[in-house]
Amino acid sequence: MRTGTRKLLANGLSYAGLLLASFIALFPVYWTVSTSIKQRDDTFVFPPKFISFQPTLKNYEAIFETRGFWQTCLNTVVITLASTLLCVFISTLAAYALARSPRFRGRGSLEVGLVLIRAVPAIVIMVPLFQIVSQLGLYDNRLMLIVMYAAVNLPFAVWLMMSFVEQIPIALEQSAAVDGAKRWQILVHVVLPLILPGMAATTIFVALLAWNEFLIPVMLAGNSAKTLPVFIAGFISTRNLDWGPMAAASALAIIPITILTVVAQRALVSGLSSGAIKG
Amino acid sequence: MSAPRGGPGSRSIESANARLAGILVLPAWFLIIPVFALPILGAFYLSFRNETLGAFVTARFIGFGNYLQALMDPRFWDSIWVTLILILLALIVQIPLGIGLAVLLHRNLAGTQFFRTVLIVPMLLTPVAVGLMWRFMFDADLGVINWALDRIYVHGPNWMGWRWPAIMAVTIVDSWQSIPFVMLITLAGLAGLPKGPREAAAIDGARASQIFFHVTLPSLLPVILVVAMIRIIDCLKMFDLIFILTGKGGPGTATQTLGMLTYNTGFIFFQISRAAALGVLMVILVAPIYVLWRRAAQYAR
Amino acid sequence: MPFNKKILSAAAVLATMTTFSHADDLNLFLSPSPSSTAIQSFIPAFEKATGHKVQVTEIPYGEMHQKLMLSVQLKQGQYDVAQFDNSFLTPFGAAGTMQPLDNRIAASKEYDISDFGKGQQDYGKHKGQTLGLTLSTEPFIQWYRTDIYDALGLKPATTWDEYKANAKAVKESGKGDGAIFGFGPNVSWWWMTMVWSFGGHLYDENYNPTVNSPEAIAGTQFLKDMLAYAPEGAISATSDDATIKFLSTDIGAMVQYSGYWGMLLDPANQKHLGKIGTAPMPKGAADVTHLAGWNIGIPTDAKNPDAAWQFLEFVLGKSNAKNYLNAGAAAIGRKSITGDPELVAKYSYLPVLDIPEGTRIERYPQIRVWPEFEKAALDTLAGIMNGSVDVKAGLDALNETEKPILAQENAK
Repeated sequence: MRTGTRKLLANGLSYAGLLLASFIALFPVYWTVSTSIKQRDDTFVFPPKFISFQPTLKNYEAIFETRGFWQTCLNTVVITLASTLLCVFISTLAAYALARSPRFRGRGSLEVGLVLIRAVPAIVIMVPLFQIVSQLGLYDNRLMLIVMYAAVNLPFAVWLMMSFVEQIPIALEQSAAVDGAKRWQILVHVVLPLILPGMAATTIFVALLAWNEFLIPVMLAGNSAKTLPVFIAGFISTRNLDWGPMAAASALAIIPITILTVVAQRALVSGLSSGAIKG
Repeated sequence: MSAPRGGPGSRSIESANARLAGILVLPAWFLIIPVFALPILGAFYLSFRNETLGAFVTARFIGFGNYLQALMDPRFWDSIWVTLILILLALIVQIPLGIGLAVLLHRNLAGTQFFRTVLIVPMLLTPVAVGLMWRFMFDADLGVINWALDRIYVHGPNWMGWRWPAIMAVTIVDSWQSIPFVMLITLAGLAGLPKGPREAAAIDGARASQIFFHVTLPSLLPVILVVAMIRIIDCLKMFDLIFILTGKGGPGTATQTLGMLTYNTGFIFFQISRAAALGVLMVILVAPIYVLWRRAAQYAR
Repeated sequence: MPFNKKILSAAAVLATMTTFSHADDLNLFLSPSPSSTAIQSFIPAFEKATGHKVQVTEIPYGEMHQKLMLSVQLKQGQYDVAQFDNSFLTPFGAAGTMQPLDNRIAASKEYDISDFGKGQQDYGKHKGQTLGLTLSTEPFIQWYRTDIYDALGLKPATTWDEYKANAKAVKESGKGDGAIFGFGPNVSWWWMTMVWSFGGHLYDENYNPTVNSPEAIAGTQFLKDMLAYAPEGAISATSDDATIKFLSTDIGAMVQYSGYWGMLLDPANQKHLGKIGTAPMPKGAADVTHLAGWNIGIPTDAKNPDAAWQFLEFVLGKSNAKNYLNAGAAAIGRKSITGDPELVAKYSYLPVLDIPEGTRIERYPQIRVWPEFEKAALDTLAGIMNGSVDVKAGLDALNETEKPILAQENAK
């Protein structure tokens, strides 16, 4: 009986803790979304209004009519998708090599290179990068951003893919080789099908990172390659600072992510747990 | 790490593998060299010159001048101090809370999957958007946070007006985004622990808290170390959040981290050579953490 | 939003999507601002009149100057017309970023420089050369709530002492907060104004800092004292925040750039429409007008400088001056505008832009290390404002900090 009560108490406390944490986790999201559908008078009031306000889509209209908004959206989607595909493709090849060949030329420096990209703050390379990019006439160029994004997300993608490759029993590949299959056949017919789920998880992750990237586009892009985070940040330096449209723009950036998180949470959790702690 | 071993002709397979591996990693090099290696060398080169963005002065080599200037500049030491404080606060707040949440989730009560999903949402959201929203919530006059504090009879500070509140605000938002990460990794660590020792302790009559502190926590230590190292590295890199939340390091230099100082020096003051030197100093600062991280990661595996 | 504006924005999207530019294209480099919006509204008419195609790049304030400078330094010829803040006149001059426009101005009847007051003719000058036309004339002026002032029998202040007394009266009456400045990340704007207005200077002619002179200390002390009459959040308010607070809550008065008047055009900001009066900024020991505002000019590497001048003449010339103001821009202090009764009826603040001859016009300090100088000042002022540093001790320390920074000004 006593252990029963104790367990009940422990469970109750656990739920209380989890509920509180969930509330804290979600409240800013709720606040963003609710501010985005508030009239200005309901935003700039004290005490704040939580539920009792007249919803409006005016803020979203303002955003949609902002010059260059659709261009920005298109850029964000295109750059996110293209850089993600590029990054996942390159990282899968590299991850396979790193996972399966303990010794090859340049392995050590590749590992160090990946760690450096992960560990060195990007601001360190921004000044020279800015000069190089400008000198090549690639400033504000979408293709350049795609390559940049793919590069900064490479370490994470490689480590994540490595953990997926390592899960494939080597015996499968060896027996295919004994059966006379060629290397590329093994890669395409044995390895690829098995790591496809892993590639999918990696894709989701890298896409998230790319979607959120700020420093690179804010430094290396102007108007024609502008992305959503830069668009949002631009509200701060504009004179007509207004929380409604700002919240609407923020909501447009975070709603897709929130939905993706819910839909793909299993892949996200497993990916995060295995890929993040490599090094 | 598993590698093909044994069997007839394994040596020739290995060398064929090595050749293949060399080819497979080529594209990765094509990304790393132009985007990272060259600029790092460029930063190094720049750091020994006196270049400005507007070419105000005749550019020439000045040896360690920029480094000496940085080391003698109180703003540099102040930014190091801010960076270290933010790292320290992040670790103190995030590691215990992250572990705590992981333990709660690990109890596997009904609804755990729902809670897990909800709790990882913050870590995936766009930092710029997050920074903006929190900035609004922290507003001293109209913000919802001070309103809530008022309800419990606490007079909220003007968060962005004073040094410590601003540092706390950064820590709060960073924690909001990063505790889920600590939680997830710890959760994975917990799942990977053998049940044996804990069960044995339970049979010996140990209380749950004793088991946690004397059995579970010590065996989680390597994972926690790795998490701590990653958090340190990410705190050093933190840019978006401070850029947005405190307006590039305000009030004054209250939240101006080394990264923010580098940005300000290079892109606001036009002193790109001085900024490059700060960048190189930053790399030097990261180096020992990197070594620790590798150690911890090997140990954790 | 009217239908034709929608078409315009759609066309603008299409325009930015075309990556290839033609030889006779005109590329504008602008920063999101009422001025930029107004300029862009002239593009269709200009394209129709001249056959040039106009492209626009808008960069937020925080990044624009560095980007423009570097782009010009690399001689990419990316932009033909560039908007810039007056505080960057000297860095741009030192870096050779903008072309001198004096010959073009002298030859242009359409631009008619004589339409500007004497002091304002020099607004875009660096070392005797005009590197930018005036894109907006934005002195610091006094804004006050006529309803509150009338109810309490107050008059707009002519001296800082009166300004403080008014603020005190409003605060004590319970009708609202007394007065607001942007005490946060932009406090340097008000601070240097106070230093000047109380008779001080930021540095002497040899670039020695003088930020701890008795006048500077008095000005800084006044700034800090005014915190007592401001809403609580004012200490971290940016210039924008302060304006929004003034326009959306009850605050007796504000000293702010006249260019912010455009915010009243936004229906969202019209809570106190018709109850906002303007007056010249109060005076201290010195009669100073802090004059700010955008410039616009032609980068040295422009591919199409003649067409660029054609565009500038078209938008900023005398013929279109009224249309330009009516397109929502911050006003330009042309005498023909500030004295036009029809416009004054609509924009009551215009007469304040007609800056009297006797006043000392102060622009942003014309030094190329200004960004670094300002940041160091901001770092100190944050501590002074929140009381963690004593005014005198803070300024003494700041004076030391600014010495090596200003010394760079003499470097070759």
